[in-house]
Amino acid sequence: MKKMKKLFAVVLALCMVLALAACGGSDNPDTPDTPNTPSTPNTPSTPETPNNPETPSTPETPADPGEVVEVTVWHQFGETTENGAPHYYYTKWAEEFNATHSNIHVTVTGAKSATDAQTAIAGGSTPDIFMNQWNNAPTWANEGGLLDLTPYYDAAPAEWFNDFVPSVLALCNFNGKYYSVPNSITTTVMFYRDDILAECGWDHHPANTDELLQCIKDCTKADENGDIARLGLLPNMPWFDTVMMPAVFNTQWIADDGVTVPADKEAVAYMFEWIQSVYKLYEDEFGWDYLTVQDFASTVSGNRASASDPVLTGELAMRWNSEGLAGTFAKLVNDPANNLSNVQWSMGLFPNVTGGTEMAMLGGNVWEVNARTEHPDETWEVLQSLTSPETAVEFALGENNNGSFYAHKQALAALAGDLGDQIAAAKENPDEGAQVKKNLEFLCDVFANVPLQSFPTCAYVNEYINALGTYSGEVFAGNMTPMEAVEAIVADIQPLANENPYIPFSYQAK
Amino acid sequence: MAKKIRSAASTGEPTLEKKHTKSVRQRRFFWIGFGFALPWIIGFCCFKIYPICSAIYYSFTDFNSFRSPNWVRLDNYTNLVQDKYVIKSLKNTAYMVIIGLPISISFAMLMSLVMNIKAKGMPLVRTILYIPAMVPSMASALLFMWLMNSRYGIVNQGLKEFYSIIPQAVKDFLPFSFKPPSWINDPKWTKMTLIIMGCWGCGGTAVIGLAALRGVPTHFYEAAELDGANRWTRFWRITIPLISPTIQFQFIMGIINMFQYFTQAFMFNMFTTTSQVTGGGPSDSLLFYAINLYREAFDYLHMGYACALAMVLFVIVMIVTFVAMKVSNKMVSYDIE
Repeated sequence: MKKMKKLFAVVLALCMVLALAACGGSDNPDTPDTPNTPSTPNTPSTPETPNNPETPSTPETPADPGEVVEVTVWHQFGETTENGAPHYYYTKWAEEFNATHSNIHVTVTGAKSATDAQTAIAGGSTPDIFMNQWNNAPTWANEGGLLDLTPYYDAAPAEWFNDFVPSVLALCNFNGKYYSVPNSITTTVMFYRDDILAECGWDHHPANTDELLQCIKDCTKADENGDIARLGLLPNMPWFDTVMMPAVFNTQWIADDGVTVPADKEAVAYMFEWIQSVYKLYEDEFGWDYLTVQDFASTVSGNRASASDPVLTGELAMRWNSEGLAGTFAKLVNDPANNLSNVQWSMGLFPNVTGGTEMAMLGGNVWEVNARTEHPDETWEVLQSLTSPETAVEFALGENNNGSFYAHKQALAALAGDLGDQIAAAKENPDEGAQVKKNLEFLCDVFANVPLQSFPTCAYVNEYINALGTYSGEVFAGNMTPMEAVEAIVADIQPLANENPYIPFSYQAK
Repeated sequence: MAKKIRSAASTGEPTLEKKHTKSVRQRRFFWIGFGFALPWIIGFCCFKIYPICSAIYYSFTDFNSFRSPNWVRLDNYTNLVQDKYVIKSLKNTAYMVIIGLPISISFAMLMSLVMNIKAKGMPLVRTILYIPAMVPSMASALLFMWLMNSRYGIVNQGLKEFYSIIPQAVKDFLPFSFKPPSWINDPKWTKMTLIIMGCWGCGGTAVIGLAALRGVPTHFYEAAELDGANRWTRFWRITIPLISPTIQFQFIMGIINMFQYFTQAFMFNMFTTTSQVTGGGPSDSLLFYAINLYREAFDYLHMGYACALAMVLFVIVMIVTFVAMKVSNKMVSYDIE
């Protein structure tokens, strides 16, 4: 019996060892968890060693002659191909790529979130290329999860590099190195109900923050019970306090020394104060406290981008929203079934602080390469094709043929020109077509010509965004003064900033 | 011979013959049983033992998912003690354990009592009461976002209606003016919203309670009735003591579940936070321990630190469960005869 117990223990231990080995992850026992280094791309110059000095580099696995290299591409959109959904364009591009490349085979998979990619990379070697939100890129790069693409950028043709909208490349750069390639881009603009503004005595959009505050006051209306009938503006807007504010108020989250956060405490406190002043206006003039406004916000936010959208119903006179809403509004307003023919709306940039320069915020998603990709050269070849100006022009037709914004100048020019005409002409309702064309022209102009600002791509971007969101919320709720909030943010973030100095991006065309 | 065997057995020395026969059978059964259990053992090792061992190891490293972990000794644990978000998340979690758990267990027991009523149409009532337990947590969170909406939600509409039927004379005597709560946006009410949601979906717990109620022998009630005990006395003197092991079980399982509270709060936070980073709801009122752990692991990539958080949670749950067991053992009655 004792022997049997021993045997049982040995078998159990063996099972555990086998299980541990099976879950071990790395195929290469000599270099576990070490990212690949790209080989010298097709360029005479030798690229600098791209990897983080803390991560030892290993040579790539060269593809055998005649071997077909499998490159996997993950994106975050659903796998539907109906109505020109993004997956339709990606699979179409992959088919064309596979047909013209005998040495590489691309597989596109959709519905893969950033967490999916993170888990997959931690557990093995797939995917090679994946889509990510821009704010994850610096953290992932800093932690060694992304392949340094700088040598490939250096070796890439000028017509590929120079076609990107310059400020978009800031989203892909972390401490002087490129870790991502831009994909689609987004900005946030003001949506105005022009008819409501006119009714309240405004024949033009507010030109600065002072005018905006007055316009908010003029357009806000209470019902017979004293409840909210219409708000001028919802002050709690996504990305407003984190990204847009410095653009509006001419300041920055990290000082030029790359360490001090924020650059100007007073300016940040003033920004918080300005948003707080909107809440105060509602409280002082109409008796609606912070919670009442928040309750209103959570009610109307569920109806976004539908015929019951608060801007279309008149519950909001203006709203700061991502530009994607423009196509939806054009469709809804011009659909007779919705009975919204009296709605007059337009877009504009967010008014600046008096004397400030015109700016817009920038966001979007990016493509990244797994640091453990086995074939970095082939993967780059795929990525370069996926992000070429020609591909972007094809993708720009967008879902439902509504137009979609990619980070390429050619794609934006096409949308503002022939492609935009084609999209407008395809609309059954000529009024909708005209509206779509006008929107595309405005937004392409914003992307191509207005300075676009994004949150600094520092190693602690997510911690910083979280601290800003948490403490600014406390200011608006009246639990903290603006300066107390700024001090709390500094207390949280400054130690991280000291550990991870930030190198600002500087653009130089090829 | 039989006598010899008996005497050998009585001295504790089995004969060779007996030992040989027994061990062959035993071995055969053992290996057959082991073979059947092997798939589970492999799964258990891969998906339970290995992750637990890994988490213990990683909690002493700076593991980040991507890079090889470096040994940092107790740094993660010392940082954890100073982390204000850990303290905040523990407070929120403790609220759910101390306030939320008794409420939801009481509500579940009440449901069991209702389900146990012998009346016409009870199977239908039981089904209706149990259905919410089958709704996925995510779906119920989304549903409650609307039910508890302070402007148009059915709950506040109901409260307003109720207030409107109170006579003005009574209202005049009330020391406060009625304003329906802002369930989702007011940090004072957000956790209560989740507790109410938990009560709505506690059909599973109620069914276990129902089984316990059905297990109480009826002759106790008959004897008590003959002795003149009223319903209330019968409930407190017979029902509660006899179902106390079930209540204890639910209480212990509830403690463990409440310490791991995640999905519903995660969904609420998605809708109340404008940032792309996992938020903690209004004024971090929904920043539960598991939410903070998730944020550290997946937003900040502090996987080693998150493993340390998980280990501390494990220890806390173990201690609280142990204390709860010890305390509740004194109140639990296993004596059914």
